[in-house]
Amino acid sequence: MLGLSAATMGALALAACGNNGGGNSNGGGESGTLVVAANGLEGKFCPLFTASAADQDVVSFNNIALLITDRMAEPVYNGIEGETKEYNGTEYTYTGPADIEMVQNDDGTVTYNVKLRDDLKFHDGTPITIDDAIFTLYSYFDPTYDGSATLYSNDIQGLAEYRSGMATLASLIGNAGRDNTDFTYFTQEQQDAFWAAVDDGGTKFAQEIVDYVKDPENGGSEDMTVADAAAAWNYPDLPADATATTFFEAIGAAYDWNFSACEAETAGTALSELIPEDVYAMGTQGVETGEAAANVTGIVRNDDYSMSITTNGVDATMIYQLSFAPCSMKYYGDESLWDYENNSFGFKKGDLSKARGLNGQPMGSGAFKFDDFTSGTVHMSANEDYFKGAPKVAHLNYVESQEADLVTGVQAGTLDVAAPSYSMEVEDQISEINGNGEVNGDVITTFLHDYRGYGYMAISADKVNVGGEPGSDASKALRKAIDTLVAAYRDSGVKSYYGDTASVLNYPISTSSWASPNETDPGYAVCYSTDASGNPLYTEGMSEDDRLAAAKAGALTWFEAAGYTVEGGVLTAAPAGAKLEYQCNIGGGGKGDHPTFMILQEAKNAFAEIGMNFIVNDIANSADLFASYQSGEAEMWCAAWQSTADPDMYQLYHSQGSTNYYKINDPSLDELIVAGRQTLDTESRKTIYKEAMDIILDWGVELPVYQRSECTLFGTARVNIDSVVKDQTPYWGWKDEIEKLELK
Amino acid sequence: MFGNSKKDEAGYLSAKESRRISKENRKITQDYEKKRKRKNVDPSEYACEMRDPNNAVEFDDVHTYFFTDTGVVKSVDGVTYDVPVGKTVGVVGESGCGKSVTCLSLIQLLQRPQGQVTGGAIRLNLGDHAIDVTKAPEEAMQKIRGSEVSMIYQEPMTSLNPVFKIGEQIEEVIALHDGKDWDAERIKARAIEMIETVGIANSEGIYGMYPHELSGGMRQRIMIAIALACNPRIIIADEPTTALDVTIQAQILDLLRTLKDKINSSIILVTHDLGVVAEMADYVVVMYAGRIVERGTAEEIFDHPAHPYTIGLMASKPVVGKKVKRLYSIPGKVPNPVDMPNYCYFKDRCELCVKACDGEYPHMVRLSPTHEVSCYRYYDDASASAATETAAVLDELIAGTDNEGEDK
Amino acid sequence: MRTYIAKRIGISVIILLCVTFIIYCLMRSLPSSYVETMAMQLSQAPGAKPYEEWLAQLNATYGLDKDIFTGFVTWLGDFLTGNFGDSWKFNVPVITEFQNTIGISFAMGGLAFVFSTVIAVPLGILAATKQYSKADYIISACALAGISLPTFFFATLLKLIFSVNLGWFDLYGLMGRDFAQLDAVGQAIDMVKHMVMPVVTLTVIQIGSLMRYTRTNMLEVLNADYIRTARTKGLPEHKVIYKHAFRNTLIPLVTIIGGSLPGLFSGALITETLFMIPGTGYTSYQAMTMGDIPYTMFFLTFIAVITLLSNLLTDILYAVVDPRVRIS
Repeated sequence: MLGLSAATMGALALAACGNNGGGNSNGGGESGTLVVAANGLEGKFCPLFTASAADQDVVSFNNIALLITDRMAEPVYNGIEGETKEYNGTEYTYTGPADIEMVQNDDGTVTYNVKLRDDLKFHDGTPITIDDAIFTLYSYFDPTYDGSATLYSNDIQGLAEYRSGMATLASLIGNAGRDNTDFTYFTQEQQDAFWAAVDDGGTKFAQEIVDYVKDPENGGSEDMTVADAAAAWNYPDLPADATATTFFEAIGAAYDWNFSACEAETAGTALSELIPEDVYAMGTQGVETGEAAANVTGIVRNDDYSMSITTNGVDATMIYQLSFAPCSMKYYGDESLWDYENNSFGFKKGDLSKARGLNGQPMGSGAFKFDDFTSGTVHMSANEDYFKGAPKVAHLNYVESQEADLVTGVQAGTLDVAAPSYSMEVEDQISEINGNGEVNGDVITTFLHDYRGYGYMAISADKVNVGGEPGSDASKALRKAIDTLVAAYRDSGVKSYYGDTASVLNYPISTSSWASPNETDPGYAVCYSTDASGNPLYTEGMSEDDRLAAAKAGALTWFEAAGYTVEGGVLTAAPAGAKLEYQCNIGGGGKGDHPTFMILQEAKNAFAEIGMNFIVNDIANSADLFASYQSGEAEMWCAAWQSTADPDMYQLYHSQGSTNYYKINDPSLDELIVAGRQTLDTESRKTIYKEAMDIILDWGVELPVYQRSECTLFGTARVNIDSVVKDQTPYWGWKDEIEKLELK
Repeated sequence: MFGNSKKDEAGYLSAKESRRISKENRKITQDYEKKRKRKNVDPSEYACEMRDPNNAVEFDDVHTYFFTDTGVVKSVDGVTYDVPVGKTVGVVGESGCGKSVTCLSLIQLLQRPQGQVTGGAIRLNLGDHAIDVTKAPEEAMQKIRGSEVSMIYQEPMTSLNPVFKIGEQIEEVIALHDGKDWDAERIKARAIEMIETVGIANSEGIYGMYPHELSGGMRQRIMIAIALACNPRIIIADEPTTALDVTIQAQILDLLRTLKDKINSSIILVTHDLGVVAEMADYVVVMYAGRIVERGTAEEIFDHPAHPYTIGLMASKPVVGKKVKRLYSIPGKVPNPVDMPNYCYFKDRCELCVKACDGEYPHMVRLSPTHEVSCYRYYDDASASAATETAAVLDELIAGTDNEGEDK
Repeated sequence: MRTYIAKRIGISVIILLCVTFIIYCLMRSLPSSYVETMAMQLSQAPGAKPYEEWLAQLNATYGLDKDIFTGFVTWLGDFLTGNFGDSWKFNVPVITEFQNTIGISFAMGGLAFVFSTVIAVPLGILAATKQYSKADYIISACALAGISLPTFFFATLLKLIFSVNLGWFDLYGLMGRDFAQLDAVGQAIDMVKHMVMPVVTLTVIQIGSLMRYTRTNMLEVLNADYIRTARTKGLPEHKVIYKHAFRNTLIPLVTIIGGSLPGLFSGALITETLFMIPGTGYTSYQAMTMGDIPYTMFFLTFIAVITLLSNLLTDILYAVVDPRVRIS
């Protein structure tokens, strides 16, 4: 009995290994199968509903994107012909399926003209037309859309009305007129408040414009009437006896009473400062009127291969939203429901069930066709008709894998491509496997690029200040004092945790973004490296001890500037509203497992030497960490941002930003941020953002710490490394030129 | 605190000693086992001649030792007696005197690998030839177990396999020996016949029952049925009624006697119950500490027991009608089997010692052609009357202590 | 016998009710619920509803706004009518997800079970019959090693030796790189190749305790009186051991084996994770940590049913093997 079972096992094993040695075989199909590691496949492969990062990768293999962005995340406008741009000394040509033209109109709107190639096909052979793009857009706009894309939040003309029969409260009141008695959607009080504001602040606003125009310095004359002035200001149709109020009413009507849009007309004072806050808010307050528009006025079909999208105002982030994947209307929708003229866009409004049902069986037009998803592996085969050329690899397997198996998987031949989380241990492991002490060798080739995000320490302006004034110089000095001392320990801390795989940052932006200041740029400075009088603390060639001593001395000057009493190099008293003890939360899992942890610990000792109690609070559960600063409770904390292609700062640093946990509230900063959104020219945006970052650093609410590297590993034995994309960045990697990748 | 006070205790073994002993003993038993487990042994190797063809079994200076990790236990140390054909031999003695081991040596079912027959011969009369069991390999033994020699054990409650039916268990032994070439029907008939023979009325019903459905007495009957199914020449009954109550005991003994007569086999009846011996045995063998101290016919032993041990045994029996203050019991206890002395084993407990008892172990003295005793008291006067005298001496002694007890 | 089974099934139903209620309460009391995580995610998208609103909406959608008892009754009603609900994490009906994963787990578990029994029981008997011999010591040492080895250690060791160093097998996964291009037979062989290491892992882990258990019970049986009787009958040694002794060892063995039946279905979480086998162990773990109530409830109820059934089966088998416990 024993012998039999042993024999069975033996036979099984022999059959197994006798059969070509499993993982190392390279056959099957003419040009082979590429095996890529994935993590977090959820099976939602329809571009509309994809969520997890792994699913998004599958979508990117399976679909094309209307707009391409280059290595620096800049959009490629002339995709059909292609654009050649230089990066790191080499010229690269980028092609895409469409040309996009941005036109800034006189009335402040922006139109994006999209022209599609006429020779694109989906995997089932049907041609791609603009109807597919329109169908996709309407799917994103649908009120029942609950996927992760946020196209519906962009300010496209007519979108709000389409989505939920919504009108703004202000437009309802304004359009109803002063004598309105129908109070279905608002109250008498609201109406009265509205017109009072128009009569008061609105009139002042308009009057300012009139004065401005009438000013001889601006080319006007004192005897101009309001109507004349208005005409000069592009409102020619006012009656001759118009008053400033009438002028304002005309402005309001032109913007459909969206007061914040009216700000564009300002001649100096912002409307928000002239009319009460609650009335001002009515301009963006939505009210359900139940009559949805039948279509989105901002989307216009021009011909079979082109369309225009118009937005209400300038929004620099809008262009990036155009990198969506056109979904086949015939496949995900219903051709019989397509009638553009009569506002039927391939599906019944509110019913995306067909597309949802096809989440597991997607069909696109990208480099690879989707075959199936079984047992944790997505099987894809090459699309011969891919517009950039048929992929050299016949099949692509996207295999769900564990982090621990990524490096050994490439080593053992189970994987060809993997992207483990890069750290010193991984670096050492790869070098050992290669046998030559390097990360590039006969077994594994490593491609590194910067992570599109960075780690930082934040200080809440509301919690850490002097005398309850977050924006006062003294408060800024206090925060900068803390930052100066902690900043000095960054180098050693980051090196010990990450080794060479990360670098120290000086600006609150990832170096992978085009808006990030380069060291060679004028005005580039190491953050928090001066004392209160502006003198640099560090000189070249200083020893480590000297640096730390200089940092301490520098911090003390800032503390003094903040109003602390310093005696003999030690803080003895804090000014009103400030303390001698502050706490910083960090998510080290309870074990201090965080790159910034050591930095804080060392800083803590230094703080103790100067009489400040710096508490390092290691929180084990990350949910608790988030809650601590999202609720506004934490004084200081450590976290990391992951950035998008567009460096827009609104969410984080604008006083109204939804994730402005620093509680930074600086009017000039707000201005800059808004301005940065409103121009589309990257050079001027870069300058604007640099200025903005200087203000942020001046506020002392954020200390950027580290920026780590990400890696992609390739199995040297199986993959032709020369065919892998060169000069990889976070925005242009091996996936973006998947069709060129070859196996040996 | 760090000294080892145990060293001074008797029987203490240091770790080194203990290891040395186990290693030695392991080696010895391995050799024996190897010899026993040989296959295809030529029968002439273990064939022999009976001294007296009227004997069914002849125990000739049998030594059975147990090679344990703490030393060698000389369980049976020179036992010699005969079991004539068709007769019942009762073997009596205290617990641990070696009576069961002697029988197990005969059927070679000692606790392996520790128990081995190291010396002497046990000759078995198989009719046309005789074999020496001590030299026979396991193969040969399996052939004679159940068919020529069978054994009945003390614990009927656990001696039957609980997962097999009664009928199956009886048929097994039949099919193994006598019924090798029989068909199933015939074997079944024989099994039912055996069940009836042992006095169970509902033979068909019992045939299909499981052991747990039977009472102790019935199970012992079944054991007897199994033992007798193939008409063995020798039946070893190792305290067959100790676990049963007295009425059943009588029935079982009756049964044994009847059956023995029917098939003319010998019984070796091991017991410590003198009453059973008196009723059943033709011959009696008294064992003490691994040796035979007295043997003879049942009348001789009961009429005039010779060895002080036997006398003491008889004296410690309660007699119906006789009033005593205190029941007599032999003082002291059995010596340590690992470390046996060189003089009479009973000396330390004997109340009838003579000067000569200081010498070495006494040899057997013949009091009559069938009565032998191993005691110095009979060296000079080997007669039945001497035995009676010795018994009288003990009686006086007992009476004396009785009185002493009274005065107290 | 029939009434016995009927009674047992009746009691099992009551037990099942209590068990499912306890599980439901536990799932509802989890600190980080699925809904809260989802609401947090959804509220962070620009232009989205605030967290509280999302929370309320999702709670209503997923039926979590009812209190525990009502929620349980609702779930029970659905369950009894066959509506097992949709898994929250996997967005497919629970039964679909379950069917996809149970097959492979059962196959692996079944194979490991068969192999481990076939290897462990004979070895245990061998160790018992040859007590204190070299064979016994070796077998006992191996059993001890098998019991002491943690699954993840052994699996990782296998992966290192057989996949990385020797290159015989793929490091993990259920299908090779060319799976889609193979024919049906090729695919079957490919899957078997990928199951070798996980099955070996599972087998080795289970062998140890079963071997020791068999050995101990066998020793106990070999010292019994009826074995002596069997020998007295003149039975050859192999019949004594494999017929008489083994049949009695079977009784406790049946208990152990019957008790390990639920393990066949619950999957081996660690092994599946390490070898990336999409089985019920891994899937149910993900569902449970995410707080996916429908899937977890279904899965745990399923396991509870299996456990109760296998207990019943064990008891019935027990009666089959041991005549002493039969009810006439």
